[in-house]
Amino acid sequence: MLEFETRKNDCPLCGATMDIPVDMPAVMAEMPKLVSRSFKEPRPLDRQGWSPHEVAAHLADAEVVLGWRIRQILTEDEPMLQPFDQDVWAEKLYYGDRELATSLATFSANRQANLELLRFAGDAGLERKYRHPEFGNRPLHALIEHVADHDVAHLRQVRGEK
Amino acid sequence: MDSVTDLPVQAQDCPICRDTVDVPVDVMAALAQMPQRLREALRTAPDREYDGWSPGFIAVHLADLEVSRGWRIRTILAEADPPIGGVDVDAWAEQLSYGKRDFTLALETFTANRAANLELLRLTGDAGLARPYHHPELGALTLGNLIEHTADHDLAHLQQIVGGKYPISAETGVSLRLRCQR
Repeated sequence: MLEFETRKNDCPLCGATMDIPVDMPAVMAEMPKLVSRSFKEPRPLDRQGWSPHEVAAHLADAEVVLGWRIRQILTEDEPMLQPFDQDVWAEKLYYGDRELATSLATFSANRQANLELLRFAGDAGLERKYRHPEFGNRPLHALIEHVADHDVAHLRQVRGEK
Repeated sequence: MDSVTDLPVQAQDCPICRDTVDVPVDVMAALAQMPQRLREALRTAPDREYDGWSPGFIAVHLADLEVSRGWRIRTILAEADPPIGGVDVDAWAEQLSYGKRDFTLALETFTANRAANLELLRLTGDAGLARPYHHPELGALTLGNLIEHTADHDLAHLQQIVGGKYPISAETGVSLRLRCQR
């Protein structure tokens, strides 16, 4: 059970139905603590996908990428973002060997720094455009909504929820 | 440590700076010590500006470049000879609100990203450091070049904070600001 409300929405990036927190900024800020807490409470695990440790490494790496992308979008004129293959990253960036504490600290610090940048950028910053080879031209806020949904999906995964 | 900039270095040609620079003899140890050295430098530094950048500005700059470096390291390790360009550090300073950013959060972010980046470098070893990337202006480089450049960049900013130096090579005229951008 999630401890926050979510609403269904069509993802402006991938078109899938996403589940984003109603209070998106607050839940995104709290997400590193919610994920960390999940590792302290034994729960049934989905063994078909990544292990919880691998999910933590993925969240850390994805937040570094988000940080790079936010900085690009806020400082360049419609930059072309470089996609990455998450399965290749999992294999080549040693997700099976990465330290959980390092991953969680990286996720948490980058998340707070990214939210700080978004607060300073304000609504004008969230409207800034970027280009993606697969999804075309999109505003920064579409990327942030996608990340909020991505958070919720992985929080459920590390908790063993469907 | 007696001084935040007191570590053994060797003069070395940097293919990124296109200049002879001081690189720590033990690059990995210097990289790992940098967050602590930076904290110490900021604690003791006089609050003055160097070419328009205060010590707090420099801390935010280092934090942001460590994010950029994290993306670069991951991309180089996961992709075959990827294109990696520079960043416009002055545009970042102006458009990423360096004058208003939380200095403590910048230090935390720098420390966390530095630890995560070093973890990746330890796991990948020498084979990873030999992996290539290409820079639109500088051409073919390796991850090892980028990492040695990072150690020089760290040291240059420590010297800037504690000593007020803003080094420009007399020989090539390459400024620290330009070196940051690459």
